[in-house]
Amino acid sequence: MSSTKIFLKSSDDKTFEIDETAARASETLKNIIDGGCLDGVIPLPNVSSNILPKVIEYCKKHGGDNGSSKKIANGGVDKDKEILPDYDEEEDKREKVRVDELKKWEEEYMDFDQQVLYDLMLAANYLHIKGLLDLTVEKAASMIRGRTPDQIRENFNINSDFTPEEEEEMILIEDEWDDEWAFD
Amino acid sequence: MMNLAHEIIFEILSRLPIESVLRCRSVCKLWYNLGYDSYFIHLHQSKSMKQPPRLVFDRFKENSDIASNLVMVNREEGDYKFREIPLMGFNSDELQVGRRFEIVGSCNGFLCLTFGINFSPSCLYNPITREVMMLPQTDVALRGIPLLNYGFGFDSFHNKYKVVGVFKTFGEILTVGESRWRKLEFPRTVIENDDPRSRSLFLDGIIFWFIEGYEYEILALDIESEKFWTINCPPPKENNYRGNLIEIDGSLAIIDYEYVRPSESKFRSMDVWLVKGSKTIGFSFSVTTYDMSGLHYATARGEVLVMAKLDRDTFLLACELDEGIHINRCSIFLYSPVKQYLSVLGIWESDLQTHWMVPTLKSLMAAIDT
Repeated sequence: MSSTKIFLKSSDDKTFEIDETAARASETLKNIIDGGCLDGVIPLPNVSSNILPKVIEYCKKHGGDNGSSKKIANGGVDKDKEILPDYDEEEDKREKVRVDELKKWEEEYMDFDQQVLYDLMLAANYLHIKGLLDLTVEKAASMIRGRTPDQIRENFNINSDFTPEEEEEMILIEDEWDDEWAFD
Repeated sequence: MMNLAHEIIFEILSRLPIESVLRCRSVCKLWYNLGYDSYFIHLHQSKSMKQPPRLVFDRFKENSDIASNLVMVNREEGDYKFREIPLMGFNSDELQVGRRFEIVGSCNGFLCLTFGINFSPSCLYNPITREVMMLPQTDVALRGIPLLNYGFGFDSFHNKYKVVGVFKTFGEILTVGESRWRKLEFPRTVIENDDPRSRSLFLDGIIFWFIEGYEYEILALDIESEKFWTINCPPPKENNYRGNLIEIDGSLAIIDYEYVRPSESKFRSMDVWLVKGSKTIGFSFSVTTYDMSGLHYATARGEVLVMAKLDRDTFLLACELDEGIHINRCSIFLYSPVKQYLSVLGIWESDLQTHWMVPTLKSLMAAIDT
């Protein structure tokens, strides 16, 4: 497939280039492209130049990759035809290698500080990149799991806005649903 | 974090297990109010459906003002965690000291409970929100006719919950939200719910009971159409006796037990029959035999009951302690027949009615209204 280039402009007026196939990983961009409203450059007023290259990196990795459709296209197998067992096995192996490689890539990709995490979540949400949203949101969730509310507030820089009376009630809630899972 | 769109905070928190969500309510006001946000509740429930369901069973507390507690089992990364959830939200009449309750069924995070002497299905309960919805009494139960068995199910087509009370040759059915029970003719007599082996099981819109007399037949009730049919099962192998119905990975399963008799009642093996298929295409049965002789003295000498299968080869089991005076004191433990791994969780009184559930913040009232 020939790849048309798309230009994205960040909130601070910097322009970045991306292949159309990669850009299609974003629902928002896909709609703009398919809508034919493409006028040279797509402005992204909610994404800064710090974060946009990171988003493009993700799209390049995942653009045009829609799981099963790719599998059928590559294997050249009619889905109505019976799939031979040995073919399946080979494909399984390739699939496993692909998944392992992707996991490794994700690990390296996700190595950044908390501010980048916030910005990436916002960008993924704004651009409707489901995979990237899942990845970043899951990371944020893992920073909450098993933590006390105090730790969570500190981690995420949240101020408690409860009155002292409400605070007391909150302690009861914390005690009731704390992480101690045991019988007496 | 505070600058994040609510949408994203919803996304993050909806991925947490229910306990974390509840604990997180004390982080700040915005998070606190999530527990009441219908969009968040829905999002969390749809994500929870993809997690392994929790197991709940009841526990009777001795010498306590609270009649009973629930125990919820959670699997996290191969670890089993057990949380006691006190029964709350009831008024004191319903929870008199010494008054037992039983879990009759579980559906979409809601439990159907019974209290009292005639054990008429009494209420629906959400153990997470502590919301109680009392059910009308059945006329028959009010006349003192004892109930044989129960059922609780959900008609997903009409979005209605239904509760079934079974008497000797007939039953009554209640569409939750309506004020009166309707009569329901049972084509066969189901076994009496006098021990945990005889309880009903609700699965994919169908309630199952063993038919009385010989447990080679199962009576099935489609909760939407309220029509019955029967399933013929293979008989238990020689020396085995037919036990109970449980749900294993979304399928109906029958557990058969083999004991060394009569010198001692030692558990030797069990057969797990997985029932696959449907009314239209017919049913097939595949059996797996587990060697249980390794259980030996861990559990006293009483009879063992399989409460649930927790993962590939770990079972949650209960053993009634044959102490003469206490009738329902049980030892509850995890056992893997393959690894011969045993972990005793505790000894207490329980009716051993175990049910799978996906805990939810959803309000019962809202669920019944729709």
